[in-house]
Amino acid sequence: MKRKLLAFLLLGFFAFSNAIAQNKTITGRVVGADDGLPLPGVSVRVKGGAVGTSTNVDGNFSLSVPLDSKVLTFTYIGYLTQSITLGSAGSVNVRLVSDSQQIAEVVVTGYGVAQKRDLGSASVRVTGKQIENLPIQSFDRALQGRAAGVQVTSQSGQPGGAINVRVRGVGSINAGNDPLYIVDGVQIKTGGISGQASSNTLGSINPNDIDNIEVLKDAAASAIYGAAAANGVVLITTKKGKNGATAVNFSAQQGVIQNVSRYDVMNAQQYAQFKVPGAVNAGTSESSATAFFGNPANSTAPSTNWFDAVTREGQSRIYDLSFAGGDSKTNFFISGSYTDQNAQVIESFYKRGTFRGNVGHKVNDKLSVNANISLTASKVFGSIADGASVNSPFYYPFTLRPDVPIYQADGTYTQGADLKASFPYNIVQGAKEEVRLGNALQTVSNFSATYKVTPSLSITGFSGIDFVDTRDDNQRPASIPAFAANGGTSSVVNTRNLDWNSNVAANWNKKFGFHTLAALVGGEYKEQNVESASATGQAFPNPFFRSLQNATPLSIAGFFTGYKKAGLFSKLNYDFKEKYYLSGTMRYDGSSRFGAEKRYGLFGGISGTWRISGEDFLADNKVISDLKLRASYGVVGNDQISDFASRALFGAGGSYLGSNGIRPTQLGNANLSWEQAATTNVGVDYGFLGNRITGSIDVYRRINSNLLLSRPLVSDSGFGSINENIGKVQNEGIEFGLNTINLDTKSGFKWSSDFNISFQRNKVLELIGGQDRIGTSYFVGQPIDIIFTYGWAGVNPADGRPMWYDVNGHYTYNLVAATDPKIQGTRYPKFFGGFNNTVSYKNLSLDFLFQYQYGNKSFVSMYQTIWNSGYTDDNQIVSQIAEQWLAPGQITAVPRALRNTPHLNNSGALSNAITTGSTRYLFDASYIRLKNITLSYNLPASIASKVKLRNIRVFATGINVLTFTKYPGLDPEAPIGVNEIGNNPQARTYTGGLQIGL
Amino acid sequence: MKIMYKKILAVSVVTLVLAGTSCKDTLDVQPKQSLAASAALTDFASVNAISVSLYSRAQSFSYYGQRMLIAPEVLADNYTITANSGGRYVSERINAPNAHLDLWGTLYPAINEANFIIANVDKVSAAQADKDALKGQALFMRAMFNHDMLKTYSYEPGLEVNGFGEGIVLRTLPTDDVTKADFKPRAKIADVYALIETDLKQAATLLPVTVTGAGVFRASKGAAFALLSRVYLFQRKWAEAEQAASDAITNKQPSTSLATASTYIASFASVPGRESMFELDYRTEQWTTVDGINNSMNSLTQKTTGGVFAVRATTELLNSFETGDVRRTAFDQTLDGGSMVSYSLKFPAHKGNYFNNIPVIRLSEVYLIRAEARAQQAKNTLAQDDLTTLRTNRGLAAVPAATTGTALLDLIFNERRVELHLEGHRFFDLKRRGLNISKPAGVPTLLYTDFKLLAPLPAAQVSLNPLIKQNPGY
Repeated sequence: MKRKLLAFLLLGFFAFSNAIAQNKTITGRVVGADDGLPLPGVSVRVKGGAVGTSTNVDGNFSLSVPLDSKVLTFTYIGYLTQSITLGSAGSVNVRLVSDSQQIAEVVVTGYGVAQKRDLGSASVRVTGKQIENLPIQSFDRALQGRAAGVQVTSQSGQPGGAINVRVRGVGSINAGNDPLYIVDGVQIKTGGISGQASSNTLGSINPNDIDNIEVLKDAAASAIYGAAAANGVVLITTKKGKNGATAVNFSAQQGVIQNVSRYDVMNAQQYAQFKVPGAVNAGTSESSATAFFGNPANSTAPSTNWFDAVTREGQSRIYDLSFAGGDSKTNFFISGSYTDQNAQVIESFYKRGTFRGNVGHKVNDKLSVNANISLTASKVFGSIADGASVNSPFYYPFTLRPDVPIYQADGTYTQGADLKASFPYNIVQGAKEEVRLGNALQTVSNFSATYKVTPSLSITGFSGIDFVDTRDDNQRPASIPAFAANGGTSSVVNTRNLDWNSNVAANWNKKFGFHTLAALVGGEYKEQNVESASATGQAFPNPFFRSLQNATPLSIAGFFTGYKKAGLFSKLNYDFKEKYYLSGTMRYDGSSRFGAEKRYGLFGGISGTWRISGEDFLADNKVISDLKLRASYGVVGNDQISDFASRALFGAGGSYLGSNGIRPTQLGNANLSWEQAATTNVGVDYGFLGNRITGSIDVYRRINSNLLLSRPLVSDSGFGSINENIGKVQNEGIEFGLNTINLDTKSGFKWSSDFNISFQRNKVLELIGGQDRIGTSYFVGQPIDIIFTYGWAGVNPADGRPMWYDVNGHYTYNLVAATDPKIQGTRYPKFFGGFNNTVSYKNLSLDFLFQYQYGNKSFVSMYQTIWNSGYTDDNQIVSQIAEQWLAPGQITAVPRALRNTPHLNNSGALSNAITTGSTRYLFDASYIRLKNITLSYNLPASIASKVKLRNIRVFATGINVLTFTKYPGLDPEAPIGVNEIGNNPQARTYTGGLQIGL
Repeated sequence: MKIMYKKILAVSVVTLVLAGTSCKDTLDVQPKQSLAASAALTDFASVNAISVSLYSRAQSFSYYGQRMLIAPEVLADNYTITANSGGRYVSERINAPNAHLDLWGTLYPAINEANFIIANVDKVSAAQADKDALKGQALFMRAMFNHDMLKTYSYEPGLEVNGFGEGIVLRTLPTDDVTKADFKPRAKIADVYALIETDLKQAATLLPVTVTGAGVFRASKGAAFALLSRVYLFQRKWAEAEQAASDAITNKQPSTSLATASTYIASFASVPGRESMFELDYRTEQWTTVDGINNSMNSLTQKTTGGVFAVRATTELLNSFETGDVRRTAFDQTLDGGSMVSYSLKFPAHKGNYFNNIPVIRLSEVYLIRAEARAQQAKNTLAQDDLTTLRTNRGLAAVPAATTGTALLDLIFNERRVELHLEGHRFFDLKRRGLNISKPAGVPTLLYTDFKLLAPLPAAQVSLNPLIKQNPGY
């Protein structure tokens, strides 16, 4: 107390003494250059002097300075320090520019935050700013091309459709490969949430609510999540309010969604021209071939473009409103959004409303509480199906015959045998009359309280919930003949997913001279239950009745799955002089998924960091502004095995004579447990020329062992396989990130680039019982996802017969399944990444992201159907008319047309059919895609303030604008492990919008 | 301050310890729609519920639901594809490699389930009669599965090409533990037949004439004798085949009788089928919405408004009918790819929504088996009597007494063709006699010696199990 008094007196004296000197008063306001919001608490000092103050809540300051003061410096965490030369004016207005390097310094880690410069492990960050106002439905799409080592592929171009995210490759064959997603501390379930439309559970988070996304890539970073961490961890932090005036943001955008990929199939005349000779070649008389396929000479034959009939130009509208602010005790962020997108397939749509309320409050110096609450309601109307089915808009329309009209002369749909199709289903009618609707209500919310026991010790209790309630409606009315016999069918599936986790953690840190120690100890419990009930009814009085109360009950069904897990975790960090860092993590985890004999496991990681730029010899280095060397090693688990995979089970076994049966469904394995991933990572973080050039380089090797494999059993045992922990896979790679400010001229022209590239290699090291392969799927020494098929040797120029390669590389017409197929490539890219550029001149800014992958192959199954020389009666790719083999000596890839029968081999027996899977259908799927491009203009502050607005921004955005590829399939972005057939490709989206800040 | 520290520390430790110690009990979640294996085999009701699975497997579209009936017709010369079969049976028509029945993956799980019943039924408590009936059904089904696989994957004894005598893998014990899923070689053809015979004889002993409440929809004593007679026929054990067929006729269920000329067509639309010795019952809830149109016998074999109509009768089949045969009237005609074609009316979907029951063994087949067995033993009069019984019920004349020897046998074979078409016999009738597989005009005959006569074993099984031999040529 005495000391305080003394200090006060001294201060008063200085103030007084200053006052005696010749002084002037400078007033002013400090705002952020990016958003125009006032910055409270900015330190304002006279350069070289002792005088200083800080800005108030409104960003205003008033400072009495000596008359001879020349320069004021403004310092604020997360912003570049700015010096302003004082002129004669008594007021100074300053716009501080945020320092992206400095901002990134605080990194979200498991159960806490860390300084980026302290971090010894590999992680990558995407900020909310980078993905703001993109017309995407879920944030995982935004990781594409922006995060080194993170590969994002689209499963479906349906808005809100599912996404595959792979952090550093694929380490597991049968367990999941999805990273662990944690939204504000809540571990959330991934995957699809609707059985009726491709819809991504991560769509519950409005991307505009996200402050940042941190991807923890190596085991040392993720070890705190123990048995769940093997596939990497994605930490999503939503926005928080700042101390200061309330910022209101409103944005609205509208645009179009276009289909850009289609197969060029024949019209009616082309079809007849191509098919009739093929049928004649196969022995049909010309007259009956013409009767069946049409007259090739008839150039006015009516022709149907089935694909046009089921696609359209869709529309996108997104509105977003948020309020952020707070005072010294409380901060809040409240937002709401509405998205309404009509997709490229007729009738399909995606509608979503979100609400979020994030509140933090300091009860007193000791206790603070925090709650993040979100609510999302979404409605997805599926493009009726993906894949090779007759109700898939990206499959069936390309196969339907162009000489068949959609409608009959009387206006009714063409039906039954008149469709001349493999299955009598008119897809236009199906798209218009079937209902495939997914409704979801979701919340990802949490509450936490932190008690500061002492300045160095705090305890946090946390509880979070991930709740999804879905209702799927499927209606197949009797007006569609395929369903008429049932009198129409409707089904409703209600599913509830309740997933909650809670934890208690104690954080402690203390500085002893040059030594800093920090420790974390905690425990966590998590439970997940999924339960559904469904009912199906049929025999409606007429097609307009569709709800179940009008139906005759057909069946009911139920489903349950769930698991529980518990863990104890601890972490210890040590640093010396902020130059040498050591960190160790341990977690003891148990899960109900694991077999009775192996339910608990210990996981952990260590990392060490040397911040070289902290050393004296680099202190004044003009070139190297930041340099850090880090190394880590850790062992974590993958618990994404199915909930009851270890048990011996009897399950549903069909029904007969009105009774339900049971049958053995699974052999038990009490030793079944987690897969284990051991990762070694060495990395460098660098910054040159005052951090004008920054980035990271990481080299890693991850070995996944104890892989959950279905060890094939001889099927005569009655079981196809048993789940066992065998097998080993290695992923290794190099990731390179480079962020540069290429130009920053005084005239206001600025160009910055973010480039990343990831090289990856995947290799199976061990399989079951020392065997070198599992069937035709996995081979030791090869990547997990190989394409194993026959080699295509082309068309015999002499007679137009298709040829393949046998095991010895010789031509053959009859393949031997046991010996001839070979590994022909992999679906993994050799490298992938992104290249983002921002070019701005004053208030005008252009941002564009190229995203690419190289060296991956894709098997286009679709071509077996529509590029088969007319072997099947499906509609065919047009180019075959010109390219088909017609005369001896002709060199082409399209064999002589022959309907329904293979060519003959040299001894007159049948050879293999052209549709046999071979490298004929294997294509390079490397591509570069202009993923996003955004042009925006910030109206000058002077104009904005005239209409009492903080800022006005107009923008135009394009998604998937251009794709450079040789790939003939619909979308080279198809996920790994899938043959391309009927995939819903990415659409091109253009939107324009307006963002207003108050 | 110190006290505060201690309190916090104590609370944290207690919390963590609690969380830790309670784990063992907390981490227990029981599945709800499945049963632990140990619980599934303790009472009669559960073991009996496994038998439902056997019949359900038999109904599968890759078996008696569709392929077992159509493929043997298209692989031979009774049926062929329509102009627009949508890719169905295109390869079977031309006997392309691998285009055959594929029963391995469907039937071995079913055999394992039968083994679970056979091994456990005597351990649970129930009335002996109920246990006998259950065990008898399991033995019957196991025998049927084994025989259908054997005739698909192997030659008949004595008709091996190049002495290739591999049968199928025999499994008689349930796989209740992974160690039981050991590698086994294919048993010899004769050994497989021996097991099938033993199973069927035991089933015939255990089974009642009618399993209570099940009619012809579950295996019965008569069905067991009928199948046994078929199995003997394949082995050319004529005397035994004759005896078993007689036993089958003696023990047939009261509802089973030969249809007459006037009731023949209607007999396919009755439930149960009038001639059924063993019939699979189908109910609405067993099919998803599109199963009917996609896979049903009715949709694939008849021209209907919504149906697929993939296969039609060949001219060769139609020409096999004698004038006046009522069975020839069980066809309809339609325009297909520019010409008139005929399709069978055997599967009229009389249960609605493409639904038919499937007759697995009919009484007329039993008569035909006995006729053939008797003719082969030169019991001409008895053989003629059996054939006459059938023919007079089909609007045809009695067999002249002069028709004996090869002429009688040829008549019987033709009778089988016109009686049993579209019920899965044609290909196997040719094969079991060592004949080349005749094909419709325009498709080359499949020689008996051609490797494609036998279906390939699943390639994955051959590469997995070093003890198992793939069929030649694959």
